[in-house]
Amino acid sequence: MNKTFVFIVNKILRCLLLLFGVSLLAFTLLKLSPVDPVLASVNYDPNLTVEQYERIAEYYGLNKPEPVQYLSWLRNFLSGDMGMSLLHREPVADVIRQKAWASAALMGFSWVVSGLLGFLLGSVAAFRRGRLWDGIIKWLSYLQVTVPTFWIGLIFLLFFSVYLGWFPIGISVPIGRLVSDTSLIERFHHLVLPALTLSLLGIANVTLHTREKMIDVLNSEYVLFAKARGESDFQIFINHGIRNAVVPAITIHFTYFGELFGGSVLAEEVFSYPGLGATLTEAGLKGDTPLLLGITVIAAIFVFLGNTIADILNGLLNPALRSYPS
Amino acid sequence: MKRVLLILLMVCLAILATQFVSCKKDNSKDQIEGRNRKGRPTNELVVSMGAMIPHEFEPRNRYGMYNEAHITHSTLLRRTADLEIVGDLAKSYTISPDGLIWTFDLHDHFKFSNGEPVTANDVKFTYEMLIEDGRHWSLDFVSRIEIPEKNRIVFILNEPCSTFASSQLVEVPIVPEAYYDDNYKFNPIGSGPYMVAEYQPGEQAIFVVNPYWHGEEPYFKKWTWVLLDENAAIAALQSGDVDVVYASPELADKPINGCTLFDIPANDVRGLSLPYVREGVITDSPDGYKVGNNITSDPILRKAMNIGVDRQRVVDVALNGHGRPAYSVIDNMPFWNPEAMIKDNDVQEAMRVLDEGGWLVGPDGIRVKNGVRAEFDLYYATSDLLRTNVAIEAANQLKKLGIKANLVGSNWDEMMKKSHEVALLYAGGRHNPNPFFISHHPSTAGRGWTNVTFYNNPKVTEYIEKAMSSADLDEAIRYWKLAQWDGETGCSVRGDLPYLWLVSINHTYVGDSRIDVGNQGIHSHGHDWSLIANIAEWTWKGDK
Repeated sequence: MNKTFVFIVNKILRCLLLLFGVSLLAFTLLKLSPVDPVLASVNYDPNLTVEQYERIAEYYGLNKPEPVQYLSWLRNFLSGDMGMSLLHREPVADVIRQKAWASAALMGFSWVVSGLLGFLLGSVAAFRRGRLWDGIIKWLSYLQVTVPTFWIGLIFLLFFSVYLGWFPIGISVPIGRLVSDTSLIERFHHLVLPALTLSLLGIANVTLHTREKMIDVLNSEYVLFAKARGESDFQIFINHGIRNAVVPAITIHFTYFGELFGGSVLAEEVFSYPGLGATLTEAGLKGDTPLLLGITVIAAIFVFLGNTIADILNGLLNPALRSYPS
Repeated sequence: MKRVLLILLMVCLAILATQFVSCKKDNSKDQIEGRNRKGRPTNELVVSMGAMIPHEFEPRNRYGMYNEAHITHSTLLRRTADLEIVGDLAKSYTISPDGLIWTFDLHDHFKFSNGEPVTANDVKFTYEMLIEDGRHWSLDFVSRIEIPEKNRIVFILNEPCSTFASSQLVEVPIVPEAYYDDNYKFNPIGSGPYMVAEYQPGEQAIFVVNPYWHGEEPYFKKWTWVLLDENAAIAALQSGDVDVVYASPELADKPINGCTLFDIPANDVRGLSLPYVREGVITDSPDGYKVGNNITSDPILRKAMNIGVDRQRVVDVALNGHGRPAYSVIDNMPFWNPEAMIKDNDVQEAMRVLDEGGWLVGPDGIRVKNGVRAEFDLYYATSDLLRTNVAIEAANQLKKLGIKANLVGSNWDEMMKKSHEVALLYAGGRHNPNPFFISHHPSTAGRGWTNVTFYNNPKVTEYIEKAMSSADLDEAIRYWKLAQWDGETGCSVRGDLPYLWLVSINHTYVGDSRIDVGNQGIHSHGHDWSLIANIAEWTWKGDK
């Protein structure tokens, strides 16, 4: 009990330290970038006068020295105020709230799909190792890892949306339809293509790890014994394979939260899907510090959570790896 | 397991095959009926003019500045496609002889989209709110606003400002005092032909006809601006989901079945700023940056560059032909002086001017005078592909004249600091003379992006001050023209040449060829809003 408490406090402290470091780094990088946020916020209109420039800078607190800017952001953030977005001209918290659900649906869906597919493909490859299906799956996995997400996204868009017309192009609701008239099924229809693109990114990872682990399992003495008892491949998979190979798959998949978020930036950009990723890109390109910091911090928490869950699950599922007694 | 996968594969192939067949069917239907518009009626449209709606219907965030106000709102005055200034909410207006009191008589039949009338109080509220905010609209010259009687409003100015008519008065959208708050962009009640039915940032804005619109009923009853990234927008145009998209010059020439290129001239000009004074003459710039350049301040070199460059070639090379040669930031505006024109691409004459001026070709092809090489730095923002292309082509052409422009890729921060001592790949252009005033008046030198070259010609200053303070708008136009060329001097290409303006960019869009986009005139700044600024006048050709 006491050790659990220490574990939790330790994790929270680490998380806070991480957030501080990430926000400071992001702030510094943004300030070092050549983007002038005031000019960017008016689309580099050459007719902006000095007086207007100064008033805009003052309005967003950009006229103060940079360390002061960071500290005042930090103070506001700690008191729950994430600041005003320069681009959206509304509170950062509101912008994030508007986009978070779309992102959560996108990432959640593709995370589950890539996990299930990856595990399945990895298992097939392991059971058929050295044969045709193994070759095909391995080859596909390498391909998935090498091909950039946005490129695959564009190809999917051209093939499935333009050529075949199966899926809509971009955004999360039908074009020209009021949100109140949009059904859940239509929303899902808009989610499929970006989510598939994003899940492709994660499948290979899980597949290759599962394959390795599954091969270990299949080479074990208990599987040999099971075979000797006359169990079929399917029975072996159900009785011995899943339980033993699923641990690395799950761990890998939770630690993959970071890449998932990174991939969602690209997938959302290609499909004009209005989530946090597309907003983050925009904030970075236009020097919108409060928005960028807000999303970065959220993303950092998200990734940290993924890793922590992986840690805990590992401990629960595999007592040998447990870092604290439960 | 193998069998299951095989079956899956076959199912996929089967679906693909049926899809191919149905696609072929669709194609044959397309040829008869034109583009497949996914069943939209011909009085509805979908456009995609970028992934973000600039200004988002909020005047405090510049809504109206790109001429977009008349889609959803009324303004006091209006600029027609032929650049004439006429009344909108104001029936008529008078300016006192000293230029300080502007009186507007208002129409009383304008209504907001909620049915309530537009009153003088709403106008007063709108302007006072923007003056107080002060971030985007230059309205400091307005001292106070009064409503002496119903449907009449009076602006009392601190100093005369003849450009009030052609800028703020035609741009500021009138908002309803009773329904204006911080969430206005999500419920932007206005008195224009369309109202915003729903705006979802990052997704789309849906417009429908304002039921209380006082003017002629627009042809298109409903239209949507879907916020797509440029590549996705082109794909959506191909698939029929979208009818018109904005396309950068690089993508504009892609042929798409049933679509036309809308290639509209715009007053969006690119050129080189040429520091006007020699090094060391001015040492006390208000911003503290170094001022002066011995090469660009040489009148002979400036003249040779202006007549020696081939502007049409810059258009062809850097803009894929989607533009026009530009000689000033106000070409073809009502206050532009056609007498200030010169003939360019005259290499022989440029060479003669240089030789006569003592700039002789040196051993490496670069001209030299008294041991000084005709060489200067040209800074451009690497983030802007178009400016980069223009800079490269300009440098190539100058080299043929024996003038070396050293290209320096840079960013806005650095360029600001260097703006008075090197040439910049510079931009300008609006439909009102304000930018012309501030970029040639000595008082703005060293203060921001306006008069970066430290241009100062007392005669020109006198003309533009007279133009600005004139109470008679026609007289003002006469002075604007004199400032460019009065027969002896001026700030144009025929006179002092503080800039080397090269090209004005066309706004390019691709869309269904059955759409008639009305009289577009010359676009002002802002690729995104410009085409649809008059969408209330658009029609569908097939139905007429």
